[in-house]
Amino acid sequence: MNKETLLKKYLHSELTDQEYKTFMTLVDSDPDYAEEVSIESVLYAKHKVTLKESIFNIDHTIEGTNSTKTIDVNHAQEKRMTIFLILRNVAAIFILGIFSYFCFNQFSANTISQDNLVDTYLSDIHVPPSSFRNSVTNESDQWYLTSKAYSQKDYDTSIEILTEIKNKNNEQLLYLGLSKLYSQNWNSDDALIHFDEILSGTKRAHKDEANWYKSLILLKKDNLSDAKDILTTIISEKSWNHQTASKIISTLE
Amino acid sequence: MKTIAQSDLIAIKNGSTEPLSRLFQENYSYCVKQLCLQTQCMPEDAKDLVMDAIIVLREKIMMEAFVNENTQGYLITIAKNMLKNKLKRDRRQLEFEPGLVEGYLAKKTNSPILTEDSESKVEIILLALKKLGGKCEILLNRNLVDRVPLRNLSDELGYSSEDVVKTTKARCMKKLKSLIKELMNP
Repeated sequence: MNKETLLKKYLHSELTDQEYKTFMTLVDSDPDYAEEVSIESVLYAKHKVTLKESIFNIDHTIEGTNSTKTIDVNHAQEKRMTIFLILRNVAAIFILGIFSYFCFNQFSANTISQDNLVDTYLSDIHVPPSSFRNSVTNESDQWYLTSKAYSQKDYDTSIEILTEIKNKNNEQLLYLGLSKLYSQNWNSDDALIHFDEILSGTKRAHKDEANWYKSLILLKKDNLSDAKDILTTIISEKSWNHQTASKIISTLE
Repeated sequence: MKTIAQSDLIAIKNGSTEPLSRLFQENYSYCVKQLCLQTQCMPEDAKDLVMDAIIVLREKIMMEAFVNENTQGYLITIAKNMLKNKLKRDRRQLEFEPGLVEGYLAKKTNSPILTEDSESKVEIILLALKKLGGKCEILLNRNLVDRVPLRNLSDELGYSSEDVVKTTKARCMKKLKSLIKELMNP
């Protein structure tokens, strides 16, 4: 079997155990081939993610259902309006009353749903660092201990260890921010400092997560305008949680 | 026994995703239920497996290797095989294992993620791919990802022969590699 066929079978998870061994030997012995494997793996993954977004756009379906419902509601309102027109004299006051009632309901429903949404997303604990889950670090390592504390929800310990790490990378800043966000003894402003640190840095890693959590914190602080700006960016760049960001934006509107 | 309509097969082959969305919606509940019952996996994992099975089904249609029989049975069999492969993962994994990269790009919270270094490399490869753009990206995707044979691509992408496609593909890959090198060592 030639190299290209092996690579294609690898990408599509079709290699037998024997073929997998041959493939790995080739990757280890031929750096050019190894580079090609890396590039094509990224290419394949990217294409698959794009395809999945296009095929399984579940949010789109939900939005579609909502708009159908909105159309139905509008029809019902129109019918009611016709009756009100017949009973014109009584209707003037009645319509005004119904209109005020609807406005009030709509406003409170949106506020509740937006608050509920933000609370739900904030209570959804972010996964522990990959190094911990993949067990690739030394067990006495500070970062390992932080990850362990974080995964055991001992956020004060993870904050304590992370604070001591000098020249923190974006991943460490993210988990410091998250630990402060989840800890009872710190507040969201303390967490925000670290997310801002990631966002103002030059490295791309974990900026999506920092943006997402910053927008949730701003929403909790009722800074709707800044939160909306970030959410809009998340949606337009199709970055992490962009579909959820659309849901939040729709409740804001 | 439900099969896929011929018109849908042609549409999928021409790149439409709409029939696949419909196929997913029609078969999703049944397949997830069956997978949960037959393999004791969690519904969330079963959902991921059904999605992956739909992607495989698309690939088979593209490669003209799809046997149009019982669609639900076909999807469940693919999903079960994928689960079996997943559980058999005592194999050494490469740095850019497609599943890991996919998890990173889709920001899945339930899958293992890449190291920060690998994430940066993935970003560089994506940037290089963006710079490469146009026909090269389509050609590489159609041949490597969709596994459309080179002879079919010469007609589809307007090349004069299979040999020209072959040469162009090699040139595209070379250009992509040099762009990556440039971006890594600016």
